[in-house]
Amino acid sequence: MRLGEESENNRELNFIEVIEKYPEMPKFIILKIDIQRRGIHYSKEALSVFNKDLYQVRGAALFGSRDSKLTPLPESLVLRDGTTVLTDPAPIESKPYIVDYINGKLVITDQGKILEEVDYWYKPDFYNKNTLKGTPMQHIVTARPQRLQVMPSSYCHFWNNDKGCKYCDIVNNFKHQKSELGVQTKLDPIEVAEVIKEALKQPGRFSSICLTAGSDTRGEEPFDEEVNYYIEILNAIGENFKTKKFPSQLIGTAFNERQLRRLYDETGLTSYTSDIEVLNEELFNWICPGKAEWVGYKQWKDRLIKAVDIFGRGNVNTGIVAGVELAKPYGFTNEEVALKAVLDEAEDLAIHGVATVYVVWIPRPESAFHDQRNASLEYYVRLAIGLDNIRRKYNLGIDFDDYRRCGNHPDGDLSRI
Amino acid sequence: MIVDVSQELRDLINNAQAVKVLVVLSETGIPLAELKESVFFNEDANIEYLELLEGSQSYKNFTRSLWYDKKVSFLISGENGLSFQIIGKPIKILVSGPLYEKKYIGLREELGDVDLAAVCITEIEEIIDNSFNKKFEEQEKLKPIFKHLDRLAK
Repeated sequence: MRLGEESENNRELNFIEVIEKYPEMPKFIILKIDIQRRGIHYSKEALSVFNKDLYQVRGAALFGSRDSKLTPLPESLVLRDGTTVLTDPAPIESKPYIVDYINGKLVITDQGKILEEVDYWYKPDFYNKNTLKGTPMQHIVTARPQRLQVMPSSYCHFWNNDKGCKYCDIVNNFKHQKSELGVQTKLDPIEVAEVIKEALKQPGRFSSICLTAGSDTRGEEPFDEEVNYYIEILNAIGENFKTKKFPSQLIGTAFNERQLRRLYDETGLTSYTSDIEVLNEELFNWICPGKAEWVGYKQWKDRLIKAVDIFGRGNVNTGIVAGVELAKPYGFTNEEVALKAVLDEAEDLAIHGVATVYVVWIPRPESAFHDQRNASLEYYVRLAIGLDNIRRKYNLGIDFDDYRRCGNHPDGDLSRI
Repeated sequence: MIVDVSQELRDLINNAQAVKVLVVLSETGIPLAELKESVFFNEDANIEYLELLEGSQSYKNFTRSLWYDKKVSFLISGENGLSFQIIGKPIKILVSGPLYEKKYIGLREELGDVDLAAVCITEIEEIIDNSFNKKFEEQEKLKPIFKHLDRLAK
């Protein structure tokens, strides 16, 4: 049962109703969540002011879009409070929000009503350049409004025996990007360093570097190859900085203590994320069979906790694909029950210094869960409030994964105040 | 809302010697004041201030004010008792984009190795001229009853 269905109206609350019910939640963030849930469609007028010389065009990404196309549309949006909204076009039949251009302003509308002003992402200077080898720099490093994103490898080895995560389309997306955009399978650390050097020439443009890729199970111990490769890339990147450490985040597999220690000691990396994806062991085993096979739920948690001793409190977190815990047929059937379960587990991690953040689950067309439905808006709002409250209760910061240094976690946006 | 800004105030705000204070409400409703050097009118006749500290109370409170539709005020004061209170509504926070980068560069040229958290923009709703000379003249004229008797004694 979805939140709201137990009420007199017997339906989930819409955007306006959620704003009224949760006045403590900024309407900008509620809007961000709903835009992510429903997707967007750009009107002709909105696209008429989309200047590709100024603004960022959709490019290389780890995951595919909900329309399963790689069309050259705007990368994404930013709201007037500085909130980043990572979203992508959805088929018009699915009733997405509409980005329109009305009375000289770019706005987001729903059923003809203007809800807020928005802006496109500005293109960083390095997007216009190629490396010495002739590779477009934007194929090697992508940008968010304040973050540099390095995706060293676009393949996940959990898919080798079809045990990829069920909400994920990383491998299918990688195939599309390789053939349609010419994106490389694996990046050359020297080229990555070259692009970072170029990116840093734009003062004020970037606050953080994030590395994320699919898991690589190979090595003397599982994931040793993944760690070796990250170390190589991080050290190449590090050559660009005066200090050993630089604001950075690695979103990787749940590495063991030795591997974590190497990452921290041998590179400039300052924070670590390992996404557990779903905070329930049974569902983890079903939804993430590769992660379950190679690491396991309990060990994943243990490794996150060990990472706190190495990276320090406030520098380790885990991400969940919020809403996937409700996937049919084995997920929770009641959103109230699911919410409690997720928050209880998140608190258990927080006690040990590990923060939890979420992304809104978007059932991707080329994932196993393509025909599923994400949670109600109210669920995501309550989850954001709940996770933020847990972090405040345990005094756990997430500066490295906040509105500026990431921008994809509605709960993380609340940490601004 | 478009509010007329006098040339006197424009000159004052651009004066490097002027004192500029931002007042925002805290989470518990307490007005908190902080000196802010970089406060200006922008080309839309809004007030722009540069927030240098990501973790400052003023930035958190300004963000909160934008989120929950609260007002903020600026006190701009200078020599000879010149003083203006500007009341407004936060409308925008820039943490990226060409204007933000321009301000970042300008700030560092002026102050050296500092950082810029955001460009915070307030739409002006009211300007109150609290300049002492003006206020005293008004009081003398409109409220003669406020005078001490000895001032009128022969």
